[in-house]
Amino acid sequence: MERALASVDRGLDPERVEELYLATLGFSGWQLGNSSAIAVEELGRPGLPSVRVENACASGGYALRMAVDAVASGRRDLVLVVGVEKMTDVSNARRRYWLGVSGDTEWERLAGLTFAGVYGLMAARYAAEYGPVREALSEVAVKNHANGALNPNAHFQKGVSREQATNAPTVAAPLGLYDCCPVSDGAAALLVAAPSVAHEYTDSPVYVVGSGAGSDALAIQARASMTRIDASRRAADEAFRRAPFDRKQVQLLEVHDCFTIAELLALEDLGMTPRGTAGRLTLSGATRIGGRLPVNPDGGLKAKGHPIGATGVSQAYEVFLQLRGQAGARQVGGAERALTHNVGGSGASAAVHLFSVSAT
Amino acid sequence: MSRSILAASRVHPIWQAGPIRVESPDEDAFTLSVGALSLLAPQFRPAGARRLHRLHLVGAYAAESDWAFSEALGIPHLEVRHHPLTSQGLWGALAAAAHDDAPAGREAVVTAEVAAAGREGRPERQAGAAGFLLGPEAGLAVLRHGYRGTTPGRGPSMKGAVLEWLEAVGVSAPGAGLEVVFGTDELAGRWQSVWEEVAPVAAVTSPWYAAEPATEASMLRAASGLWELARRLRTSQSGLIAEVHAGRIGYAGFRLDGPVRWRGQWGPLPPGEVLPTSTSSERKADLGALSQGAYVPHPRYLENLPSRWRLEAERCGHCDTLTFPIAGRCSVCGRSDGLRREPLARDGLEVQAVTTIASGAQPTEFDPVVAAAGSYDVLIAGLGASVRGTFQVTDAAPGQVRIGDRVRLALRRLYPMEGEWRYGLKAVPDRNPPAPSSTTRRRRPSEAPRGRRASLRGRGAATARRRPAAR
Ligand SMILES: [Zn+2]
Repeated sequence: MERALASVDRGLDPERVEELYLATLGFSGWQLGNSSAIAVEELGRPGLPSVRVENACASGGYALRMAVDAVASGRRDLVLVVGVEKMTDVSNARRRYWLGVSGDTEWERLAGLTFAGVYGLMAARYAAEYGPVREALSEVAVKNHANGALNPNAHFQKGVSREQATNAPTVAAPLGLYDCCPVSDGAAALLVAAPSVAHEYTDSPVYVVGSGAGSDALAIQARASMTRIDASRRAADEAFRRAPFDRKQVQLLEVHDCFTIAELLALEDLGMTPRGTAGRLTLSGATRIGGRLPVNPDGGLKAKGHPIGATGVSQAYEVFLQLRGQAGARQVGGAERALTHNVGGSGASAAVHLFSVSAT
Repeated sequence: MSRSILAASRVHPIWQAGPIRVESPDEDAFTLSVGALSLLAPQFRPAGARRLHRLHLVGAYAAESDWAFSEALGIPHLEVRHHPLTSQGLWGALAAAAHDDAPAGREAVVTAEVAAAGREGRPERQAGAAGFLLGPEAGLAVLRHGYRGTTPGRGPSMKGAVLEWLEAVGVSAPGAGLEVVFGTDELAGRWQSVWEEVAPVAAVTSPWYAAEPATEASMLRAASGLWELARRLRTSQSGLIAEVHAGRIGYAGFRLDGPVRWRGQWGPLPPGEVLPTSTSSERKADLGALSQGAYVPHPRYLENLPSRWRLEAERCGHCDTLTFPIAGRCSVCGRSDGLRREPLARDGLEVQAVTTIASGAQPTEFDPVVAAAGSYDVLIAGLGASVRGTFQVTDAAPGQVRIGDRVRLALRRLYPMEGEWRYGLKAVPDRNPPAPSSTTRRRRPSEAPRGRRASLRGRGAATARRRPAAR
């Protein structure tokens, strides 16, 4: 929060913030209830209206959506969105317990599944329907690790080879170690301002020009398909409905690659490529920085890390940097229109936002 | 009224992975018994003339068994009676089921043993269950049974004992038509000659039966003896089982009046190397640790049992949609009236997706499963045309199941929660173990020990110490 407030181009008096949305799962159970009170205390504004937003791994995307709604409705001019998760300072057993709490308890968890297992099932089914997918999964890991190496805030700062990714130990077949995001600590913060006041703080704001959300059954056994995340499709449809640009005009994506298969599914669910072709698209190099459609230039959840509540907020932060030309070594040249895609769990919820350097 | 044994079943909690036999770590007396009863299920019904109205449990079953069997079998108001876990408990339960004054219908006797975890030098394989279904039709009639302790140098002579047994079961003139299955681990040769002197009949010390190690579950010995007797009774009418075992003698008489169906594995286990695992016998230790994972409140667990244990779905009377698991409303039209319960098929299910959860990637509550048997598979299977279910795979090596394979579902332990075991259906590959056959013919008992000894020879010192066939 402090760094976000201090980074404002023309400075910002913390007293101007009118409301705070805190995205966090509450991993490990430390201060599970009422945790937003801690955030406003830290901010030095104990009287500030605040709420914790929880939609599993999509908490950040939903907190942004609520902030955008608060501003768009005219109720607020300046809202702080904070996403945070502290995941590494708990015992191994407790971490393994908490890593699955957002999945379906009654059937998936009782069958011995964690999220790696659920995405492993989706990957296995995807391969059965569309053909071998191992090389494409490894390429997602290779690309995102390469991007992460360019991001000083990334958890992993090192590239991996296709061979390393392919031959890594199994976690949940067919997914291996390099197909899974790490367990990370992290936080991200955004200031969401009404266009009428934004220019008091900066000459180059990034506009949120679309917001969509969607849900689906918690357990994948109850969904229409195991190789789609319909919540993502629904969220994207809503986001694009009133947006000033369409899918073909998106120049940069931050997608929810909690597992490598999830990045492939996202590209298809968001309508960026036809069903069954995301692997081919990835292997063509199109999704690298400098490619036709750069995906996860910050390293994605895979390399940057996936501190649950922070993830959706940090995706918007990356887009903010990219659209302002401040992304340094990982800058996507000429990016003016971007999309963020944040998924809760294995796809029970999803939030999609569209960003542009211009308001229309 | 009088009932006869119409069908019997037996299961062992052991599966085969290549040359390795592994004991299922997720079985206990309850799941084994449900397994044995499920093999008999085609011959009883929840209602009507073939309804099962009473279940006799022989052994140490948890207090919740009374309602749990009723729930697992889908038979409301199933009356449950308990009998001690001994051969005599089994004979007594069979006699009670055969001769009690209950109304017409079927009764079942089931017994299971989960012996203590293997001690030094003994692999853990002393677990199993046997089930018997009794009804008014002609089958294997249960005559009389008896039991007494023996004190060396006192009581009847060996000859006197044999005469006593013959009289007690109502066979006063031994001769043609009497079959005897005689199991002992004491003075086998002398008992054999006494039999030959007193009753010049087909008195047999069944090599296979007696070759079971002395610590083999006594109930399973008894049940196996009954199978052996019934097999022999095909050429004569009445027979007797006698046991002299660890200072106790017991006997029971039977008469074959009609066909009996035998299901499951009755002969000795196929040869293979036993891979010792921690077993269900660790019940108390496991329960002591309170699981923090996957909390499902007890009432919620009970509410879901029709789907979780019996694979029941709901068919909508308005739009014909099948909803699984049951939710009290249609998953398509949302109506809660006109729903009909419909049990889904539990075998021949097609695997639509499968993953292998590596050791260490499991949720904490599955740590005991991984500790016992390593990593495991989880799959999604089609349940009929329109719905799916997610199931852990059991009785199979990790990575064994492929998309497109067929599996069946079996009730197993999931994990402990708040002091009790939680149970649910797991997937078992259809081809392993082989589908139970309904015929009596297995291998001849005289053939069995040879295979057994041959299989023992290749094993380590631990198992080779096992006693040879008592002859
Ligand atoms: Zn309906």
